[in-house]
Amino acid sequence: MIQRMIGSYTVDPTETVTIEVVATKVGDFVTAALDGGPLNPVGDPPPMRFQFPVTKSAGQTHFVVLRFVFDATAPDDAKYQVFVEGSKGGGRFMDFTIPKQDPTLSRTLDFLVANPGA
Amino acid sequence: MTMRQKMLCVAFFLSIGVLPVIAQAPAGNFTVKPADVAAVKQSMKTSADQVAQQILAAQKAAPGGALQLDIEPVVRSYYAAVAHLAAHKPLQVAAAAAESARTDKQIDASSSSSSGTTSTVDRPGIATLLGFALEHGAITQSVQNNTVTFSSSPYAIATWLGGGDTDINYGKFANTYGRVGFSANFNLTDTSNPTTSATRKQLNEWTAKVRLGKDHSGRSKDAMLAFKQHLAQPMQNLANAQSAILAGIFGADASFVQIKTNIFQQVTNYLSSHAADSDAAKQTGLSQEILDTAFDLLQNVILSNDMQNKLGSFVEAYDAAAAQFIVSRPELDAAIAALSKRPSFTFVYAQEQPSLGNNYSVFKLVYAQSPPNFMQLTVNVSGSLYHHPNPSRNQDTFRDFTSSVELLQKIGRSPFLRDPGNKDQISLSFSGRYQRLPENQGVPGKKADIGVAGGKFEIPVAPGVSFPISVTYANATELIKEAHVNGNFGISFDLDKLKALLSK
Repeated sequence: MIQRMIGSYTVDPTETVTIEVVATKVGDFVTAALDGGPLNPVGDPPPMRFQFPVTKSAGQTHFVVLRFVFDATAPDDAKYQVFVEGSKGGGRFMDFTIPKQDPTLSRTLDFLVANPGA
Repeated sequence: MTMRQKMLCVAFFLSIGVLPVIAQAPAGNFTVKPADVAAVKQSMKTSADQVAQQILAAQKAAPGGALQLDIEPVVRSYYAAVAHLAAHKPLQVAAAAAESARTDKQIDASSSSSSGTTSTVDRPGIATLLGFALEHGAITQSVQNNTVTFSSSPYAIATWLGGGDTDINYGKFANTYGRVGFSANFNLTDTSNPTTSATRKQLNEWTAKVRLGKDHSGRSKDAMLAFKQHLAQPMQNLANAQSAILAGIFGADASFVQIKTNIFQQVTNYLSSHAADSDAAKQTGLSQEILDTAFDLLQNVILSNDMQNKLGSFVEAYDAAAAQFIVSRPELDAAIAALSKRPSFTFVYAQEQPSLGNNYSVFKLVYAQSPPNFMQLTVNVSGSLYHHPNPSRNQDTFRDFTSSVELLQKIGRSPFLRDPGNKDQISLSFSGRYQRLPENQGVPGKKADIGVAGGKFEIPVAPGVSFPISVTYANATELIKEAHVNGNFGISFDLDKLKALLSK
């Protein structure tokens, strides 16, 4: 996996993507969707982990939308931090940080499937 | 797009082995007519403002950090406008709305403290970071002392050492270290004892608290259940709808990546050339830059006929999910507020080291509840034991029994707080306490049954800082059988709140 910029990745066609959301001073109030359908968490949170295998062909793009919510008791410095990792290496990338004051409480990650020969 | 940017894009896609499919897609024009451009841009403005706000907030929080750009809101609002135009529906601003007040913490000295407290009753909450309070006064002592109280918890130490107050640490430690709090109260000036230096700091009291019941906080398992019950599905539907729009339009090629790369470059250029601008000017300019760039690039995206037919239903699904989310959103807060009103029990151990008299230990049970439509109720029951009773002073090992009750009402926002995010409220409480002190039984000039009644007014004066003032009437002190009225005041610093507000 290559991180092109925050929220944008190039992945291998046979790679499995893991997205981890670490909540600070707030509960794990997160949902995720992949290409129009739910992306259910895996494992036993915390932290919340979402995982999916790359199923699209080279040149196509997977979209993951993460939505967050802060309850009224969360302090103003509460935040969510997104991390992304691919099964084919490249590292664990720090991605978006979502503070309580965020106006959309949503982030989109795009995963462009690379040509394996490139 | 400049020629240089176009070349950069081509070079980028060639480098990853992907040709820009956008150029090869079958014709299916879906551009905005010139007459509608202003209206579409107007309907995209809120989203562009939000994206600019996110970028600038991230830069402020971590100067020099990587640019945090999420163009989805702008892209979605463009296609929502296009779909509404195609359906001859009025353009609407996208449902953008689909987007510290604790009074239970004891920051000041405990009510058992022999001096320098403004409290008649202990509250059950535990400081997670560090709290300290300066106070002047006395409830049932003859001497008015100035004291400082420091309070914290093992949880605070564990999270400081291990990566912060994250959900991972909360999951590991909240049910162990998070149940425990401790505090120490020092005399700043001991006017009661002329043999001590006027500036000598003296440990007056230390306490340890253990929460006995379940965690009822917004991070508890019950809160997570409330989330799943009330909000998870509407939020899931919203995320599904957002990703469906993107996957439907851009899933089959790399055009989204191309658009984001271009906007990223424009934003980077704008920020470097406007570094000296004011925050407001940057916000306005950046928003306009994002809006214009995104609009121009999206105008060139060619949609398949199939996607043109589906776009309206995708946007409708999003609008419906956003509307449902807005309706459901308050349910989570209501459920978590109901959790916090459940009864809680806390055990408190306090060791008192009065400047006059013998040291003793206090064992106290604190009960707190906020019944619906009623004031916050706190009840304390305690007994204390002398470590080394002095028979010549009529002392036995058992020192006293005390019970107390407090009713607290929040009465509104403090006029001193300017930050709308600071939800600290002025509170008014009334309390009563009865103390049975057997050593005073039958001793001339002393009273064994001591009653105290009082009122306390606490007003937040700055972020994390409040000013408590109380007036109490007691029918006697522990040392003299003489009814008296005391005024007590102090200043409390709650570093949990202070840090939260300052780090915004």
